[in-house]
Amino acid sequence: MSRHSFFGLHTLKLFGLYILLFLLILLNLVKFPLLGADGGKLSFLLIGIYFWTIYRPTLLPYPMVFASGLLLDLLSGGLVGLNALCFMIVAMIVRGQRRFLLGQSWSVVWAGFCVAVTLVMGIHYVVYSLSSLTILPPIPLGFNLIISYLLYPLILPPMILLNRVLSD
Amino acid sequence: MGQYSRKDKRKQAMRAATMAVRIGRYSPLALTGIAAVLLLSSLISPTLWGGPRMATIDALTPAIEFVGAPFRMMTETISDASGLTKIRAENARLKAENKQLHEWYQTAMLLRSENQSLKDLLNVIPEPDQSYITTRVIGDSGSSFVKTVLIEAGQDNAVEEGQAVLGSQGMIGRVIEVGKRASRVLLLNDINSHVPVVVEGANQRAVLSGTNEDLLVLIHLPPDVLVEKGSRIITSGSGGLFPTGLPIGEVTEIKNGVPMVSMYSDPYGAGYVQIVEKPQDPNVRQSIKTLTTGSE
Repeated sequence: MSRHSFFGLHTLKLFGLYILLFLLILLNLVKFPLLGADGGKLSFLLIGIYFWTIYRPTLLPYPMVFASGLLLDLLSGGLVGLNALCFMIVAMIVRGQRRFLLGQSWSVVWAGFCVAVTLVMGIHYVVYSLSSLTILPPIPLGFNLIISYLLYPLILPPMILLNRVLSD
Repeated sequence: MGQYSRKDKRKQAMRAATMAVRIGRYSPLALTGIAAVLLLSSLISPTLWGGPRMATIDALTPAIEFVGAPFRMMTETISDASGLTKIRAENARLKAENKQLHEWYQTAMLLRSENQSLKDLLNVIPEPDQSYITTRVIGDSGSSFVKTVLIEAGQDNAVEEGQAVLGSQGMIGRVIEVGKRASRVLLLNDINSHVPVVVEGANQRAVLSGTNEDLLVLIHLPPDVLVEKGSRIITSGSGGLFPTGLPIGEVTEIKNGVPMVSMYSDPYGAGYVQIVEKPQDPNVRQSIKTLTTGSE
């Protein structure tokens, strides 16, 4: 294989990763049949950021994490900068714990994601409560968290597949 | 001279490289700081980012629609499948309802002619005409803390900020941001939604406020007013933003003395919505009528 075609193929694989991230951002806005609006959709992009920060941190630099968070903020109609801030915090923490997480079983990595999503939704809950000067009802938050925890194993297979393709 | 300039250039390149390394090292903190500043600006002035938001949504509307298409189809299939099982019972119910409606129709026709003759006697200024824009819901906010939906109509379709949005049974929200091809609707159950309403029966004005949950709350009611379960809630038209009499819901619960309202239309169940266009002035309408018919 020539050097030129190797780079072409690699670029194509990278493109696949970024398309997947973009798709996860758009999925956040899509109306799902049974989930309703509280269906833990925020976690779609968070799963992507968490996974790639652990397994391919060089392909997901901080500016990319920031940009995806900002794009989600602009599309979702919420407070601008909130998702960008939350995702940056998660990316920094996960990068700090990367060596530990890489050597762990699948269930421990999943537990790590549960902590990350709880942190992000907790920040959302506090910021939105402060912005509306009310204590928001906690039940939708709890429902959202449970759905988010359960979504991780469902979203994981395409990302594992893409990670394998990138390794080849 | 040329040697100095080469040295200077080398120094400049070194400085730039050092700066790039520093930025690379501190970029997570810098980016986190930028995100915090953006968040603060959004908290201080929520409308500040309206323009960039709608520009982004306009640019990505085709992509959102494309990604959402299979899920919309799935929703329709599920709805059709569940509908088929209920169809026999539904048919019987509709037959009974139709019989009742025929009786109501006769009563309504009588009242209409009586109402018209009374209006003619009193020389009442006619109510402005309403027209509607029907459009599809293409997405929602994806957050349990922000209750908004995206609709596939914008400035190109004469959508304007502040217009009321109706579901199949009643009002579900109002347009808060308008792009060229898409708009965002703030749902009535969002905590930031406040709509002037009238409690039918008690004939009392109040404000209907969102709670971020299914039930809405009636506020600013005088303490001596007794609101009963089952009272209908309609828009009052105060402030001129919404037309008078749009149905919203009914009081289903009194919680610690505060009436809670259940909406007639499920804000998330609507696949299509109707936007109520700003009413046309009756005098303008009369002039147009005169021009088109050619009679005084």
